[in-house]
Amino acid sequence: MIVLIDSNKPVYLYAQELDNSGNSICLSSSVSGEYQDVSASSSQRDEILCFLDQVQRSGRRWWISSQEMECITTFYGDCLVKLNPVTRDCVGRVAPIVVLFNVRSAFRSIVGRVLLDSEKFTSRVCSSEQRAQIFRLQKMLNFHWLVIYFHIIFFSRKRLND
Amino acid sequence: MSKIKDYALLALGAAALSAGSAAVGYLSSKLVKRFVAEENKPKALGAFAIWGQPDSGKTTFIGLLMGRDIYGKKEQTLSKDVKGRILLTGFFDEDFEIQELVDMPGTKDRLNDWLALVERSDHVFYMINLQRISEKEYLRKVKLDIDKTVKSRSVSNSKIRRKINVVGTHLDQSKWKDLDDSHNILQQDESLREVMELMGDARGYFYPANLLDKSSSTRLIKCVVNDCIN
Repeated sequence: MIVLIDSNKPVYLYAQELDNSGNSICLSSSVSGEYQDVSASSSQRDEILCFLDQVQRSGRRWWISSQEMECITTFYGDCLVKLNPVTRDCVGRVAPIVVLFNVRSAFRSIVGRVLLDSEKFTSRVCSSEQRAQIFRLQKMLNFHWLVIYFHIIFFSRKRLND
Repeated sequence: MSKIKDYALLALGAAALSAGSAAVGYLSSKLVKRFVAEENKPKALGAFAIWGQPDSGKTTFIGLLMGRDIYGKKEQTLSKDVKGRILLTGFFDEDFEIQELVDMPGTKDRLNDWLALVERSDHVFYMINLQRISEKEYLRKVKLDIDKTVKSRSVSNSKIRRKINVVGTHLDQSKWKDLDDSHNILQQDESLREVMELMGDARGYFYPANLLDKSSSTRLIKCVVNDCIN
């Protein structure tokens, strides 16, 4: 199933709970500072997971990626931003946060806010370097989507999947 | 004139003979190569389905099967990752190949993905963290997963009913860590018995292991391969 996040779709935040209970946090946002929970049993959740898998599998590493923050994009403009916060889960594993959006979406203007707010929703703490990377990403996303799109075409590389 | 004709025919015959021999030689070498390749081809084990609650050792087990370094930084698995054609070498005299391995998170929202995977896989492995098996809530979730997996099998259109094998992980951190013959004693544990009984005729093998211990993990993989081929 190929899922494309189009320009009308909101920004999604996804992370597993730190207590390894099997629960996960999934929120959608289309207005800065406002979030709606996406139920685990909803078809929207299935679409989001499918999108996550798809971009992880076939996406390209965007130039804006760093050690603190990985950005994976496709030529459709689908984008996955993965942060590894300082906070670990209850057994000491790295507990990433993922934000999903499309660069053609008008809601890309709130991606930075969603990333910063993810700390409070997921009970994680990001480092100051990560917060600096988030601001850098948002600066890029403030450009016209065509500029971003061409940037992705020229400055993204195929990832080495082992 | 007739002599020239004869010599020409002779030359033509010799040319045809040598071309024929070359063709036969070429075809024979091709056949031999194909035969040798077939003989050396790794034995196919089929597709594996692996799942369990978070922190049950799924990614570590898959890493072991793929020959990866499993001692690095541990991370929550966030997405479904499909690996194809994994070669298993050094466990027996011959090589084996797993057609497909899927690593995915153990979160509730992946349950349907798991059930779909069970449907199409040849060998099913459910991972249980033995350190947590006595926890009421953990046991309840494991039993729920097993129950749904068994029910999904019973309504499946597939004529083949896969057995559900159980891999018990974190043995070194469980209450059985100091026991010599932990395998039999483990199966007498009340919580584990409840899980195994829930499977009914879907019950497969039980493999307790410490995935981070080389001898334990090697023994595990050998048993798994042995049971897959028999």
